[in-house]
Amino acid sequence: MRPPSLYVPGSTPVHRADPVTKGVWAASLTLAGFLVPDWRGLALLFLLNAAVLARAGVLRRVAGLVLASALLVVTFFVAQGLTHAGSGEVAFRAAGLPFYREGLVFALTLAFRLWNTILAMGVLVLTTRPQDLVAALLMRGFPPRAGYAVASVVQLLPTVWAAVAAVLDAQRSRGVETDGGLGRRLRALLPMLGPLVMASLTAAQERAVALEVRGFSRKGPRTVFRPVADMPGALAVRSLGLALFAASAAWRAVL
Amino acid sequence: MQARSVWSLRLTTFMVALIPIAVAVNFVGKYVAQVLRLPLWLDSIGTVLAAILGGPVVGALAGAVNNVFYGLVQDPVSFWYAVTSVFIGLAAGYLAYRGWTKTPAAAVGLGVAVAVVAAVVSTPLNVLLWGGTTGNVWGDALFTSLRLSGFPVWIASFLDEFVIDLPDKVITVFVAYLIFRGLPERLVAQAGAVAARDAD
Amino acid sequence: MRVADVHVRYALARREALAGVSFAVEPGELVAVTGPHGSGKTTLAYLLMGLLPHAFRAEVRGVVEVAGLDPVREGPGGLAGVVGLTLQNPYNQITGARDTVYDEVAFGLENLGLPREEIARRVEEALSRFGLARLSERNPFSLSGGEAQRLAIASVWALAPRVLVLDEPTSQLDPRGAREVMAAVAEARRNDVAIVLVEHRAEWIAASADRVLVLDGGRPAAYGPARSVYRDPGLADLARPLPAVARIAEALTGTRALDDEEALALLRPFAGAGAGAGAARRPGEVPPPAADRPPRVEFEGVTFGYVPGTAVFESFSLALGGPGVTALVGENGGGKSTLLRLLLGLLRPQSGRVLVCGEDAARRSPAELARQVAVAFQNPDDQLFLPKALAEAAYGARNLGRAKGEAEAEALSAMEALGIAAHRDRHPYDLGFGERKLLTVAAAVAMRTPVVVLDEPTMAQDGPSLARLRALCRRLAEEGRLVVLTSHDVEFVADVADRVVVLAAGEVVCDGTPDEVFGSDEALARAGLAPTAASRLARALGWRERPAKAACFVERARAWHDRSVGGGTA
Repeated sequence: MRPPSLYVPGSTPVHRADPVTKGVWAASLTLAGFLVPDWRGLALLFLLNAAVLARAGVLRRVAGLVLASALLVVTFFVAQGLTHAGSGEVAFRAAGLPFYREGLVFALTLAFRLWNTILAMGVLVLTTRPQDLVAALLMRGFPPRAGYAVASVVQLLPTVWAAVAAVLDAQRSRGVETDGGLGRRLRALLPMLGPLVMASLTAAQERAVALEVRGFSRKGPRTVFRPVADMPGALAVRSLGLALFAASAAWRAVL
Repeated sequence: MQARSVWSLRLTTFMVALIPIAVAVNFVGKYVAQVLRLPLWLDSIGTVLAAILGGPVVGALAGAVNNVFYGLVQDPVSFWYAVTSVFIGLAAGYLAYRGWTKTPAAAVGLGVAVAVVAAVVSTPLNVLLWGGTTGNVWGDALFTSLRLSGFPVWIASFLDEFVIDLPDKVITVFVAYLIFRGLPERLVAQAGAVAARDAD
Repeated sequence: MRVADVHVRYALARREALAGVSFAVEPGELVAVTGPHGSGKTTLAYLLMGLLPHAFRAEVRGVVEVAGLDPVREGPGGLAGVVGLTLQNPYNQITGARDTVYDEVAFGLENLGLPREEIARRVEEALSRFGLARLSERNPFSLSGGEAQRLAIASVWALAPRVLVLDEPTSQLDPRGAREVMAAVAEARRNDVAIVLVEHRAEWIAASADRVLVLDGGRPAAYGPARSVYRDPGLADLARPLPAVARIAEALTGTRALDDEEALALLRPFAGAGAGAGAARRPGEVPPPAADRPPRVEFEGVTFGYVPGTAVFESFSLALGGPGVTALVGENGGGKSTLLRLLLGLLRPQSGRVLVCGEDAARRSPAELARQVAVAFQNPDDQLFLPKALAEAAYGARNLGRAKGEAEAEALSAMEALGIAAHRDRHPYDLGFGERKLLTVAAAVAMRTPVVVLDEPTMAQDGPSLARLRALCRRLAEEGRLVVLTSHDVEFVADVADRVVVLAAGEVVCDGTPDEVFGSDEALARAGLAPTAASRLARALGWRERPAKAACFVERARAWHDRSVGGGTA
């Protein structure tokens, strides 16, 4: 098993767009989704983001994420359909229970909000290397220590992940059973996690020394060695995102 | 121990280096639970451990970084729940400082407290974002039946979240407590651990 | 850089970690610091970097001055770019801040706030100086140990420090990695940088250091030019054992030689000792001793590969057995680790069988197989998790169902044999890496299994520990157990093993006694091994037979000398 990752490498215009512009877009459209009161409006946002994702060539990946949310969507329809009566109009009955029309429409709205979140955030996370995002934030005055905390997870997670197999081997060879009844497997939890955590914390201790040596706690200005330039037309794209957000807020206010 | 407030924002380099490790431990805890086929998430052991070792601020930062990172690599929806993770870190860090890691019984209490905090913070998010459900079949079945019996959305949604959080957070905190107890003195001292360990 | 009468005491510690240490290093000089486990070497390195008391709580007395600055006052932030430090573990020094080798080197320079052109210039200079230019786009965590350690040195070098402190840069590396890193150190020396090198290997220090400081329990035990310090007979085995050539030369002539050339000059008179007839077998011709006696481990026509279509082993057969010590040697990637994992039941052969004491390993879970075979893996940190060393050493035996008292008695006796019994109540992580490794060896031994597997037990060990490890292996063999070990330390292998199996590309290329294997140039070449000191000297002296063990060389030379003196021919 490999450590999780969502980034899909590529060189489409969406990939090349700067992380801040994509971030503004993703945040505005996600929030817009929660303001638009009607599922039909949400469907428009959905299509807009789907078009961007198609241009980035990551539709297949995002479809996987949408499918993974299926269970949540089903619970929307069941829970809201059964309990959100509104005017009391029953759409249909299943197993003797009434499913209300307004509840089902509300569930559809919720489902689109969920999908809209996945798609809008997907524009950012599926096409941006986490390191580039952090570099872009650092250039805008994001504190370097916080930037390090986020960026280094990308590098460190695979190393801790790889140690799981080694620890499993070592403990099984000393007689720790990792198969069998629930009790037995529960007892293997500490011998598994103990070495992983202790080795990681010790490594963190040494890594802190290495960071000190490299001037990590030095005061004064820092250089961003690989500056991330804004994409051409960045202002226009960001404005469009914010405009869509404003329009959604207006729609909400009017209703 | 120097008279540093438990809410101090001054982070040593070791604490900064601790945060990515806490996030990695969150992920690996979940992975190990899968390898051992345990019916648990165990995906916040690192956050709780960081909070016990470094205090509420470090715990909160670990929680925030965890969800940002989780959002980037696994599930974009998780950005919203960064708030919950931050409060888990704050609560675990503060209560550990108040001595809730001194005995196994106190650690179970800490687990319950963390579960309550997690559910209280998640409930408004669940209600505002998703109409109150959580996506967990058992929790949502409870939600539906409570709603049908006339309970308000907020209470039904809180219980939906809480029945899932309670067992998971109690075990998560207990595992973190056992690991914390077994850590070398030198490391605990360097972290400036705000939590107390009983002398054994 | 100078240190005068420095004392360091860590918070909560009873005794001083450094007690009255003084020394100085001028630009362009290299001073080596050596001494056994826990003698204060790393504390000294941390002190020079300003980490005490800023990162680790400690009380410091005395004078420390680095390039006109006081590290104790400046702290590490004020010393970046003035002092550079590298640590033992190559991977823990990778910051994780950046995802290529190039950018990892640039990270420190970004923190110093240098202009971009200057950063690029310095990064490229450092990469090419330490032979990393062709790796510049690689992920730092994908490097080999030797490459990662060179990356750490390059990253620090790029900051243009006046003083470079290297804490045991080779202790966790294989011989190839160690050679690469020592070449890097020699490279760093060509400029006006003062270097403090914590190091064990006397031959290297004697050849390269201007002076050596020997620490013992935090106190300075000796300080001066390397050759004179090592010639001091009062200083036997404080660090790594003296090089084998030194021991041979001393035993036969009373003078310690510190390299082959010197030794040969002294040993010339013994050239005639190798004229005697010897019926040396050709390696591999004769089956190794007593492989049919229990305990036995048999690989029968084993085929195994991690990826379908690329087999590590194909129809591989090998029988190990009889009480004794068998060493598996060969370059990394030759199949040693895979073979051990098959033996332990952690990997299942795609065809063929692995029999451990008559049981088919594939039919048992690894935990069940632990009754027959115990193991100490290369990295101790993959298994240590209990807060007390003794409990950790007894853990495996407890898993086999032994009573607490019995398991702990067994564990303690193994810890005694390895010289770590005094640490019984300490936390394993408060011990050094080498001692943690010994603890896992003790834990494996305490399981009292017929077969014991030790994967690179000699890594990061000092002289006294190596001697104890050797004695313990021999004791296990006498008790009727089979010890299977891997090691890159040829002198140790020659000394301890009854049988040496050379693995390369998934095949046994040579199999025999140490004398047979180390006497065969072809076998050594295929295993990527250097000959032992005794073997090198014997060849240079023109002996017909080349003994592998230093002790055999000395014995033969003495016997010949006594005979010739007796016969009046000398």
